[in-house]
Amino acid sequence: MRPVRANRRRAVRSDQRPHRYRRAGVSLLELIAASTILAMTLVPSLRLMRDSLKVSRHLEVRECLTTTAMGALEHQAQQVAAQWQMISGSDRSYGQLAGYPQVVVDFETSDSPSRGGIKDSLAVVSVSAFEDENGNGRLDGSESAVTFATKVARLQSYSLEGSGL
Amino acid sequence: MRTRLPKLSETRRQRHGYSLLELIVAMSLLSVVMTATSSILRTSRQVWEAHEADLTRLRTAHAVVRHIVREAREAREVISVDANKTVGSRLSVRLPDGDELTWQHDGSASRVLFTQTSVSKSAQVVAEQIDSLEFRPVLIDGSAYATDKTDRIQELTVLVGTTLPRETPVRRHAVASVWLRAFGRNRRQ
Repeated sequence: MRPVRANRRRAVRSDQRPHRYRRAGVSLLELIAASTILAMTLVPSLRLMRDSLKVSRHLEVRECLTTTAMGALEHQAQQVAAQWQMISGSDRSYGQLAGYPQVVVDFETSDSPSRGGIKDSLAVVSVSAFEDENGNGRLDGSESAVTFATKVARLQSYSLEGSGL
Repeated sequence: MRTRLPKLSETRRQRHGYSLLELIVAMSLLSVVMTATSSILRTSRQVWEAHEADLTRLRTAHAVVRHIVREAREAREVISVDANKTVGSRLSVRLPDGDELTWQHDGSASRVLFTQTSVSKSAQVVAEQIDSLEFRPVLIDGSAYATDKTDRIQELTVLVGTTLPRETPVRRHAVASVWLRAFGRNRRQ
């Protein structure tokens, strides 16, 4: 009879043992809590790194676009003053020289009154430098761009000098 | 009636708090998390600093180009230019008031020097860490520049080169053209 009583006592003790002493491993709730804490610390850190890279690259490209637009405006202004030919087009040479082949320059010269010019007297020179991210050669709404414009008066002496006279 | 004293095993089960083992495990986990977090933060800071260094050099190069464009566009004529030379090049222009401006690339120190005769005879450092400075002159009709036609230069393309401080060095240029608005005055009579 004694072994039977001992077994019964052991069984009772096992039932009365607190719950946390019996289980092995961790619950799903604890796992979720731990993962959440980890995510709360790591995700902002990673986001900070990503954002800093993004902003740095954006600044770098904007710097290039501004200088490129300025240089292209000077070039087009000189061209129209010397030759007085109203033209428009695209130019990738500045971007390629600078090490940014994705930078494209769109330029337009016009002496049309509708564009703000005076026929044969005053030309409007407009230049847009943009980062052609999708490579379609056109300025799309989501692409970074810098636009500069100026006006150039026609000087007969300069035109004559430009034509070699 | 005798009061029954609790057994040692029962007091251990009824207590509240954590065991030493649990504390050690918790602290180990915490230290692992903190180490990983600080490592990521340190890496992100290093990346950010590297990009800042890149941007500083690029801005310096662009600032040199803009300085040359801003000043030279008012020039009456080009006095002298080292055309298509990347290291040790030099450009001198004369303004309408007779003032002379000179940009000189110091190849040995990788810097650009600037002199304005009305301000000082000695050259001042405009920018450092500039590897190359190149001038590409163009005549008014777009023809190629020749050394005997310095006074007929109407446009200059300025290329300023710098090397970004990365493990694999990357060369970048700031490029711009400048129209010398001489309007016929650059012809020597």
